Amino acid sequence: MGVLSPARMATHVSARPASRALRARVEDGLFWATLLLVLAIFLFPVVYMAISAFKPGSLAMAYPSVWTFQPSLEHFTRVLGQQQLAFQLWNSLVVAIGSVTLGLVLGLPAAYSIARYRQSRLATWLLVVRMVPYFGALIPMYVIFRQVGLTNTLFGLILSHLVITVPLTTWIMIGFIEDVPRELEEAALIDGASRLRTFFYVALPLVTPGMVAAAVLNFIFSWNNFQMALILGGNETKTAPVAVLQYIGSEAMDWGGMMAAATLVSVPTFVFVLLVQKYLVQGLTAGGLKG
Amino acid sequence: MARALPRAAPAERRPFLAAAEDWIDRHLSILFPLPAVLTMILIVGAPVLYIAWLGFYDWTLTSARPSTFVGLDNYVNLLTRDTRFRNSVWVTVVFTVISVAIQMALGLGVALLLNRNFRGKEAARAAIMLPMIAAPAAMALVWRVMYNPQLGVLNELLREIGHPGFLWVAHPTTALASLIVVEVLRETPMTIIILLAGLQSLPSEPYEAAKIDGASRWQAFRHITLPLLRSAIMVALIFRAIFTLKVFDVIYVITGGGPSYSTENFTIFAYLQSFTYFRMGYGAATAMLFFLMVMAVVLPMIAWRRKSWEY
Repeated sequence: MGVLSPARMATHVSARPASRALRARVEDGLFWATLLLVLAIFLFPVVYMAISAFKPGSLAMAYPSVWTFQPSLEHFTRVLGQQQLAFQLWNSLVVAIGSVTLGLVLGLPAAYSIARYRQSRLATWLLVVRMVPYFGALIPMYVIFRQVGLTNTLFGLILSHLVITVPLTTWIMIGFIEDVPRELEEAALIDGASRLRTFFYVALPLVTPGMVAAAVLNFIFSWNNFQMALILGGNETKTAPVAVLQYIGSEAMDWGGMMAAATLVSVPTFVFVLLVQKYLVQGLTAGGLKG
Repeated sequence: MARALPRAAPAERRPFLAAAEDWIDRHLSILFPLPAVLTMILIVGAPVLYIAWLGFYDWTLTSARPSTFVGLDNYVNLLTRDTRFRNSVWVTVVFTVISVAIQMALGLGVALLLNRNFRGKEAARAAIMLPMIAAPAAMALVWRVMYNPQLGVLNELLREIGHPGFLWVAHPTTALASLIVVEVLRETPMTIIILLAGLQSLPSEPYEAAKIDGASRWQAFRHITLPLLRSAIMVALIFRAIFTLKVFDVIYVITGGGPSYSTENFTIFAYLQSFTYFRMGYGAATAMLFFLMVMAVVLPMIAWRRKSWEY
């Protein structure tokens, strides 16, 4: 392609302009039709859930379905109060905040060390931990937690969620720390600051966006986790995703309540994901995709 | 950019603190990762060793009988006698292969669609992530309701167009396929955003060159896009394969493994052994086999990664 290309391209753009315009319009129409169809199919369950949750009374179970109705919050207030979903959402929040915080405290220094001292072996091992089916770890956790009284405690759940948050935080932060110019840190070191201080006062302030991204992604993973709370939790420490199980029994009569509960469990993550959309790819594939 | 640095003034500091700071500095590369490493050893490394050991025992948590050493009995039983276990391996493989294949093809198509320049593309890209981000257990509950054979909205739509509808997850022949539909619609967005990120990082020069040479769009896709996208495709494939092998939430909430074991995959089987029947030794042996199975996928991936990147 060099300097010669524009001239050669010009010869190519000729043909009949009228048929080209028509073709472009048909193509445009096809594109929009396909796009809308794809979005409709993928989003149908989410939209169906949200709409059904607002249907008053037992209208959510009406057959044939009713699509015009007076929206009502009755199912939301019922599941939050009577059926204790508010309490279970609170449990989820505590576990998520606890495991995200500990994940950052443990993962940040590790990420810094990996990025600055090129500890690739350690990075790889943390990646393996992220891939390992943690179900295997749940059997011993259950046995040990039972003995030391950690089953059915929020602290036990926070501890178990570190399996997710520590490797994920580390892997997200490695990338961000690498983007901090070494010169800045070297300047601080030359000025006589210790490495420890350089980490706290130079590196950390510069990776704040990364910390936010890591925190939000970890929050989503912790919030959505079902298996750990199912096994290690109990009645008093039921998290919101596990709480959906209690609605299965009411499948015969209370779809409105079920959909309201599902909506309340999903909405917090919806809000968060819009905040960190940019970092989502990195977060989901932490370690797999460079940059 | 950085905050003003507190000037270190060694003379004013107490010698002990200075010495401590100095010591930390010299061992930073060990001290910094240490807490994370110890935590991981404690909650992942040790447990894996524990289940490796427990797998040699016959121990039922709920019975008074003490655990007894049975050697390889659990493994021999699982691999040679337990038809339910064999069924769960089969279900896992079918579920993973089919749903990952569909996710990859569909994901590539939608990624190409979303990679175009159109008004509202940011909104469309954000919206497509929602089914993946919603709590799997909550989404599973929604699908349960939609799959209801009598009142469910899916059969209602089918009847509108003159089809009698399906039994979906209520019948062994359609249950697994129905769950594959859920998995595909829930998880394809992950493939989409990985491939979209890959597409956006492609250089534009080859396409310009191809245009000059008069290549058709299909040729450009086949000979430029696909080869350049190879590494993104590999990443998506490996991540999806690993996560699909481990699927639990959706199956547990929608079918619990039934009807008649038709959707009982590896994780559901292992879960039931350990936490419903409380056969801890047998469950540990199952978990160990599962661990090895996933590692067989993970380790080649790690080797491949190490070759292509610095970490």
